[in-house]
Amino acid sequence: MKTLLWQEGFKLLRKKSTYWVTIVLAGLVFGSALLSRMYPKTFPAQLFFTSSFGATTWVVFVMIAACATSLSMEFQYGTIKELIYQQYSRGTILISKWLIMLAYSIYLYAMTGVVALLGKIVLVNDKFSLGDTGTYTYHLTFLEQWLATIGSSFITLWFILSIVFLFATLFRTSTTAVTVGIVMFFTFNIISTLMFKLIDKYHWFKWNPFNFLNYSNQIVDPTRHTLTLLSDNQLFFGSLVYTLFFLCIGLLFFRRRNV
Amino acid sequence: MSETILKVQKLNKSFGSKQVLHDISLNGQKGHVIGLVGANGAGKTTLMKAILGLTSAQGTISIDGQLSSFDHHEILKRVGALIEYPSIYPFISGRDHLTLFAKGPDRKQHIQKTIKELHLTKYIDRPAKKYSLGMKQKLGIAMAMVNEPELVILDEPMNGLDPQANKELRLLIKAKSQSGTTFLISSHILSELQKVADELLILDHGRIIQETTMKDLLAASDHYLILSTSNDPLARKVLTQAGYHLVSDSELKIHVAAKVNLEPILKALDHQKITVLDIQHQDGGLEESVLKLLNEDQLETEGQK
Repeated sequence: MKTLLWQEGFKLLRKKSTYWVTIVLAGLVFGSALLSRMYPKTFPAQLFFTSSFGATTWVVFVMIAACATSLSMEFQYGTIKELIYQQYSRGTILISKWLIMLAYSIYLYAMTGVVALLGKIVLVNDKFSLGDTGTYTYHLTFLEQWLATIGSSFITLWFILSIVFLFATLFRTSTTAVTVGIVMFFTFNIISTLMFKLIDKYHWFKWNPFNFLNYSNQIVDPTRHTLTLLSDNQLFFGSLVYTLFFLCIGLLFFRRRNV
Repeated sequence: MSETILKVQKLNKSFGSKQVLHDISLNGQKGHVIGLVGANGAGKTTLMKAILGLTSAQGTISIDGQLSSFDHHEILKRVGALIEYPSIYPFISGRDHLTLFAKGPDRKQHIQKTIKELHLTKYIDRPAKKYSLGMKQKLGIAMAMVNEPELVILDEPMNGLDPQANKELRLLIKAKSQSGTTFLISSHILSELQKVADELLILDHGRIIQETTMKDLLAASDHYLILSTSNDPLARKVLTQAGYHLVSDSELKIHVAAKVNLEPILKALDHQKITVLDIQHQDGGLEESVLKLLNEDQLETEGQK
């Protein structure tokens, strides 16, 4: 397992895209902070800051692509054979990929978080203080809201990634997994209106997996509870259970996969 | 008695209703080079994949006495392989590939040794996406050998190699086998296989139709003598009368047994004052023997239908 983790890390660090992602994300975060400074009415700094100046969304796209390709590239290049006829089981191979992607996602959140904090201090320090509570932030200070957004969006991100991994184990190319992840992320807001109507009509429907994508929204906007009909804790643990469930299904498929 | 490193027993594999491996059993002795021969679709790659845990199959596979299966194949750490085509990440260099898959405390020395043995020095630090087909093939072979495995499984290793690289690979396989490495090699280039393999498994429609040593197979193949004389038309007449079977109209080509006594031929010709200018031996070779066996199997299969 140690060797597999080292191999996965080695491959990730040898990809030029890994470095470009860091540069581009840092640039986007800093650029967004700059926009908040230049056009404070259109891009209110305090609101923008709580999502690390939009980074929590950008990271989702990056991670969907990274997770889908981390598995599909092995099939595309035929290197999956090389991985399997080392002594390791298919399960260990997949778990090592999860762990490296987990580390990568933590890095991206931490890196964009640090850049966002720098951006706030350097560019928009005069607009708000981290200890303030704003009109839209309800019960939390900006600092608390920022940390809560990062934490909850991380949980939701992994919920999406578990499905991306599942599709990546089912198909040989990354296209399907990437499409499913992105479509899920984008269409969620469209279908959620319909979903809330259904939940209101049939209360048991609140346990459907899509409802758990509301976790990060509900954390910063407690009024969502009236729509999801689930508590913050229920959403948190439910997201974890669904994430593990989808990862495990992917693992079961992958363990039986002929190459 | 030599040690068995690879033991395959009653291996069966089906893709849906189509059975592609039928009761395959084989033993690979330590230090032997086993050639795997068969037409396209005969099951060579599937057999290799099953041994390497890439594809599921019924039956037992043991490597150096330890069972290996689709789910549990810890023992494969002592096996190196190249299956179908080299597995290459385009975004890293050849050296990175070796670094990625080399294991153990001596891995740096192993990497250096492999680069030298396969003559990769010139381009090993270039990104693999810039490699030619032959370069990729050599890197794939290097990856199979970098951990100094006891068993090496190579599927069509001569693909894309130039004559020089072919020769180098042949010599390397010979040297490694002499120091105890066992090889299972499939190849369509029978002339190359003939030079390197000790044993031969001929696979047809998922069945082993012949398991033999290269020496025995070649001994059982057809042998010919090609004569050049001072009077070929008369020599042809004399040899035919003496009961020899001439197989060509354009030259004096006689079909003979593996061990032929030249004396009666020379005597018969000398008796008619015919001078023998040159004698050449010609063997049917591996290609002819394999094709003959495959044709016989084909006829047998058709006869059973």
